[in-house]
Amino acid sequence: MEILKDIRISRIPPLRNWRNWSIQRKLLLIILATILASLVLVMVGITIYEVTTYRTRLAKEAEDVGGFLAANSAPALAFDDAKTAKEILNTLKSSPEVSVAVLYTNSGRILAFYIRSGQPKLFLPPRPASEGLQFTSRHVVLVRSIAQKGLPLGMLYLRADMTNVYSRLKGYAGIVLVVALALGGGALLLRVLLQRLVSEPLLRLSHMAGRIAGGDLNVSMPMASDDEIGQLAKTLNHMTAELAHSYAELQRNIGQLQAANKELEAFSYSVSHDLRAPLRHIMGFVELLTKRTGELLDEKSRHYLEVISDSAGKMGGLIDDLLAFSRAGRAEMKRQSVDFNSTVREVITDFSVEAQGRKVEWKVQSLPVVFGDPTLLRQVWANLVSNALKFTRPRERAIIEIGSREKGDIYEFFVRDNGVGFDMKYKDKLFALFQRLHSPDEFEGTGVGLANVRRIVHRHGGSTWAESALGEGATFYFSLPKRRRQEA
Amino acid sequence: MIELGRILLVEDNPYDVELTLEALADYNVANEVVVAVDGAEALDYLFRRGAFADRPEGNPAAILLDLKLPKVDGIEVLRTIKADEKLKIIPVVVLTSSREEQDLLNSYKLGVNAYVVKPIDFHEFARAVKGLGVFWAIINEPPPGSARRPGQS
Repeated sequence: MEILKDIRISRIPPLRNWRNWSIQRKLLLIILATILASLVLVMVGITIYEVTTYRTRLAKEAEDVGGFLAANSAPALAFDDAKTAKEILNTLKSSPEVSVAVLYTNSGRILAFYIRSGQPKLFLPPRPASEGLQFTSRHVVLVRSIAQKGLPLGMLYLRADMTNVYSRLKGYAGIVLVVALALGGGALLLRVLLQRLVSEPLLRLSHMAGRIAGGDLNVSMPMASDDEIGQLAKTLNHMTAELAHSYAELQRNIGQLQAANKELEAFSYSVSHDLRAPLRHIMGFVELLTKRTGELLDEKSRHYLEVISDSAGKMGGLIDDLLAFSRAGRAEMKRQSVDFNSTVREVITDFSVEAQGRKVEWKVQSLPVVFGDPTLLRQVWANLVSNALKFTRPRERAIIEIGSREKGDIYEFFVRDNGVGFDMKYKDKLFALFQRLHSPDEFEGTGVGLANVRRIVHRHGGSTWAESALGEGATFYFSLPKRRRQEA
Repeated sequence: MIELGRILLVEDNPYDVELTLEALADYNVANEVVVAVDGAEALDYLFRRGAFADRPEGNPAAILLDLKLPKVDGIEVLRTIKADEKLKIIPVVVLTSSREEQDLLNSYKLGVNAYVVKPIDFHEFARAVKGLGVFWAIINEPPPGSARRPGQS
């Protein structure tokens, strides 16, 4: 019953919004429109029918009366007897439809006339030219000649009014009006009926669908009827069951994936870890060897030992990077508000040591507060800033810009530098693990920084990309979704 | 004469043992280093039992403890040491290749005195070991009851 509270009686909204009206209103309107249209059609039909049949009847009556009058008034016309003619015409009193009758002599003079009482005084028509029946909207006019034994004596003008039909039509219109008003009243009842049959069940369904959308998969729709709404309920129930199924399977899959991932990470961790010990031994014993035999060896042999040591050292660096990289994927992500302004400020301060002795211009815009893991996100900034500093080293003056842009549901951040840039041809390799676009002689690094950035940003639900032109600096972007109510 | 204390080195990998001894010898730090190759041996030594029942008295001035040990692992050894009234005063330095947060946490929780990650580079390693040796065996006053160089009281 609480559903009814949702159904507000609102004012009639503007017509152009008709699509957004409730189904109730739409249905009501259609029903009323149909009924009104039918009534109008019926009215029109009746009117036409009535008018036509009446006309015919009237015409016939005019003919009959006309014939009767003509026959009776022939003698009066022959003898120019106006009085008798008048008397004859006055018998028309008993024919209620006839309103005007005029007898003309041969020469066109009016011998006698009859005007029904109540008719407005009118101008009697001059001698009519032709015989026949004539219909106007309000009258039927009969003109006929009167003759005896073939000799024309005069003419008769007869006019009948269709007043009757109009009063009948008025009556019909009255009935229709009453019916229409009754409908208006019935519309309210109809509305309640529609509400109960259509709106309420639909709203109930949509309410439950809302609960399902909210995550509660245990609801099931009541099926009160087997009509389309009942079908909808059945289908929704079916869908919910399927969803619950899929969800359960998804959970299982996720569980499996997580387990596999944990295994993999534990494996890569222990492997990287175990790789360290032999590496340490290689380096240690090479060192001991060098110390012991240094003077005895020739330059080349010493060089070989150096290479061995050096390579072992590099391997160590790679293992460390790999460990850090896998840690970036393994660590539990904290979720909290992170003010990027302070993060970036701290990162820049951290790197101020490295930037010492160089001319570095920092252009940092005001940054928003985001939601995520502060440590990991700090690493993102650190990596990007470190890169910017590294690749602007050849420049006399490094200009590093940091800013952000709001784009609908996400924040876009960028770090722009005026360093050596890169060829856009290789933009897809930038963020891959251990991919480098420079030789170690040009710029140091293992190629794990950007891969880390991508990994962390992806874990936060964002994306990474970059733009550059060789020799004209580079801009690295990453996006993060704005905090939403429901966190994935 | 500098007093040099005895150091107990608990390390299972023979190469690591060799490197550590070289580093210690190189810097003339301790003249007595006892090596235990697993956790059980380490405990036997400390409690003067089993094969070490007849070892000379006196505790080591410091224990260099690796974490990844067979039989009884490093953390267990640490726990046992710190649970014993007589042994818990011995400074323990964990010398391991693990930088894992969990290991750090457990070690410090159990009261380890220092935690050093073995660097890959030998120079750094040697420096670290020397630093440890110099500090714990020379500069630091060992707890009462520690073995001294023969001849000292």
